Amino acid sequence: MRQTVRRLFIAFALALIYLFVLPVGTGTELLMVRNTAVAIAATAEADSTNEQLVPIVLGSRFAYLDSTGRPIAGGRIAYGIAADSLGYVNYPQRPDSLVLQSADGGFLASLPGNAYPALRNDAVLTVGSNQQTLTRYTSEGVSLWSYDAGAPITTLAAGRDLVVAGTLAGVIVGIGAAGQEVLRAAPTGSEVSAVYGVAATRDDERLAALCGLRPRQLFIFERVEGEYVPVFRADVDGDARRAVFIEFVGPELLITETPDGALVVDNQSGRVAGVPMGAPILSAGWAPSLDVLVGMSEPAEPQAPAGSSRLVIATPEGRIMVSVPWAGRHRDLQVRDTLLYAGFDQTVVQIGLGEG
Amino acid sequence: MQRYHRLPVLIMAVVSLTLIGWRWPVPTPQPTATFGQPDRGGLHTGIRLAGGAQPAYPVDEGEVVFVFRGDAASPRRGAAPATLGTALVAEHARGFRSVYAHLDPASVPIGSTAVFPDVPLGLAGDSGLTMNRGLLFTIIDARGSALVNPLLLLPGLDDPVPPSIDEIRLVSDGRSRQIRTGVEVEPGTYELHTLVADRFWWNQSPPIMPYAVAAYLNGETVAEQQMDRFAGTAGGDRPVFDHDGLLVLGRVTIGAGRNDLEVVVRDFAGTERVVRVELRGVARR
Repeated sequence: MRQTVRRLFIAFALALIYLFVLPVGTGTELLMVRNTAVAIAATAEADSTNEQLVPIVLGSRFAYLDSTGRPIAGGRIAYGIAADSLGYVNYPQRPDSLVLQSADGGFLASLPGNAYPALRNDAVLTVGSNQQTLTRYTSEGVSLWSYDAGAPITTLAAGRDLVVAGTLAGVIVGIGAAGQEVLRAAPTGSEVSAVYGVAATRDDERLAALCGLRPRQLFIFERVEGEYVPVFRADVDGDARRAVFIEFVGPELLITETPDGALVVDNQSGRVAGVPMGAPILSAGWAPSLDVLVGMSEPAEPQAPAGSSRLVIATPEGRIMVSVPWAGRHRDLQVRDTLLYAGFDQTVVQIGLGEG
Repeated sequence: MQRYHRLPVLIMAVVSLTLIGWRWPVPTPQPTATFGQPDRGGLHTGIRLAGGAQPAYPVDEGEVVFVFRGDAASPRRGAAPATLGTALVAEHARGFRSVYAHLDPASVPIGSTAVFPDVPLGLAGDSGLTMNRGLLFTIIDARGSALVNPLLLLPGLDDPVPPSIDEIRLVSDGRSRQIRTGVEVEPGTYELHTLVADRFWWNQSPPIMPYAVAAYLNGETVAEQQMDRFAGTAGGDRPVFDHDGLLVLGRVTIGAGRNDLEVVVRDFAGTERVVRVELRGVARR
C-alpha cells in the first residue's frame, strides 16, 4: 500500500515537472499561437520622422526599411501578412481578431476575425471565410461597407476610394467609397470565364483586368464623367490558372504577366510592348528619374537552380537593359526612385540604379 | 395533405446517377456539415468531409480553372487572401464547377491544367481559415451562377438514421415559446422556428442539415425550404437561422380554436419525419 502511494506520488510529481519544465506539445493541447510582430527599436542614427518607410516581405519575415535600407521594424510572419505604407496586419491562421499596426508596431485598430486582411494603397480590406464577402474599414477600424461578390474573389486592387475585385465567375467589380457598385463587367469571348488579375491607379481614374482562358483578355477601363468605360481590349498570351501579376506603374504604364515575361501598355500612346524575360514576371516597379522598369522574374534557364530568380531592367518600349540571374527565391520588390529593394528569404538587397 | 414536390428531387437523382455519373471526391466520405447549414454567422454552401488527410479526387474529368494558394507567406501580389486555403477549381461538362478547398499546400502540384478522375488533386488538409481538417467541397453551376447541393449530384450515402425535429417554436415580439400538442396560444401571427437535424451512419456523425423542411397549418402550406441550390449572392432562397440555430420557416397565423400545425422534414434518402401539433387559439382576457 505504502509502495503504491509512493509510486503515485512520483508519477504526480513527474507530471507536474513535465507540465512546467518541459512543455512539449503532444498535438492535442489547445495551443496559444503567438501573433508576433516584434517592433525593432530604431537606432539613434535613424530618423524615420516624416519619411516614407518601405514595407517588404522576406519569406517567413517582413520588415519596414528606412531610406537607407535599414530595417526599422518588422518581425516573423505568424501565418500571413498584409502590409503597405499605412501599416500591417500580421495574422495567424485562425484569427479571432485582426490587429492593424503601424510600421513601428504601434496599435492602430482591431478588426473582426473570421476573415483575412488585405492592404492595397492604404485601403484596409478583409475577405470573409466564404471567399466572397469583402469589407472595407477605415484605418481606425470602422467598417465603411461590406460587399457580397456572389462568387469567390480571386484578385483585389484599390485606388484611393475605388476597390476592384475579380471573381471566379469572370466578373470585374468596382466598388466606390460608399460601397456602391461603380462597375460591373462580365466579359465574354473566352472559353473559360474567370478573372486572373485586377489593377487600379491611385487616382481611381483607371482600372484593368486580365480575364478568361482561350483567349486571355486584357481590359482597361477609364473613368469618363463618373462612369467606367472600356478603352482598351486585347488578347494576350497566357493561361496560368492562378492570380497573375498586373499593376499600374509610373506615369501611364500598365504591366501584366505573360508566359515569357511581361507586357507593357502605355495608356497615353496606346503602345503595347513585350518585355522578353524568358519567364513570367513576378513583381515590378518604376524608376521615374531613369524612365525604366524594374522587375523580378522566375529564372529563364531550365537548368537554373531551384529557388533562384532574375532581375531585369527594361525600357517602357520593351528593350532589355540589364538581365541578371539571382541566387535567391524572390519574395518581394519595392522601387523608390533610384533605389531598388529586392526581398528574398529573410534577406533584403538594396540596389542603387544610375546611369553609367 | 399536401407534400412538397418529390419530382425535382427524383429528376436530380436520376440525372446524377446516369447522365453526370460523378464520384465522391474522397475515398471515405464522412460529411460533418452540409449545404445550407449555419456556419459562423453565414451558411455552408458546400459539404465538409472529415476523414483526415485522405487524397482528394476530382468528381469527374475536367479543366483546372483556378488555384488559390494557401501558403500565405508567399502570396502573389494582387492575389486576394485565400480564406479557402489551397483550393482548386475545376470545370466539367455542362458548365458545372467543383471546388476542393483547404487542401494541403505541399500536396497540390503547381501548373496543372487538367484533372482526371483517378489522379488525386492533393491531400485534404486544413489550410486557410478553417477549424477542422478535411475537404470542403462545393459545386457551382456556372451557367446559372448558382451553388448546388453536392448531395444531389453525388452517389447516395447509406443513411439509415431518420431525420429529427427537436424543437418547434413560435416567436413574436422577441419572445420565443416552444409548442407541443394541447398548448394554448393567443391568436395572431407568429414566426415559426424549428430545430431539425439528420445524421449519417458513421460513428460520431454530427448533426447535419436535412434536405427539406416544410410546415402546414390546417392543411395549407405555410413554408417550404429545400437545400438544393442557392443563387450566388445572399438572399431570397437561402435558409435563415435565428441566434439559437433554429431554422426560421416563415410566418403562421393562429386563429381562434383548433389549429393543426404539421412540420415535415426529409433527408436525402427520402426518409421523412413528421411532427403534428394541435394548438388551441385562445384569446387572453
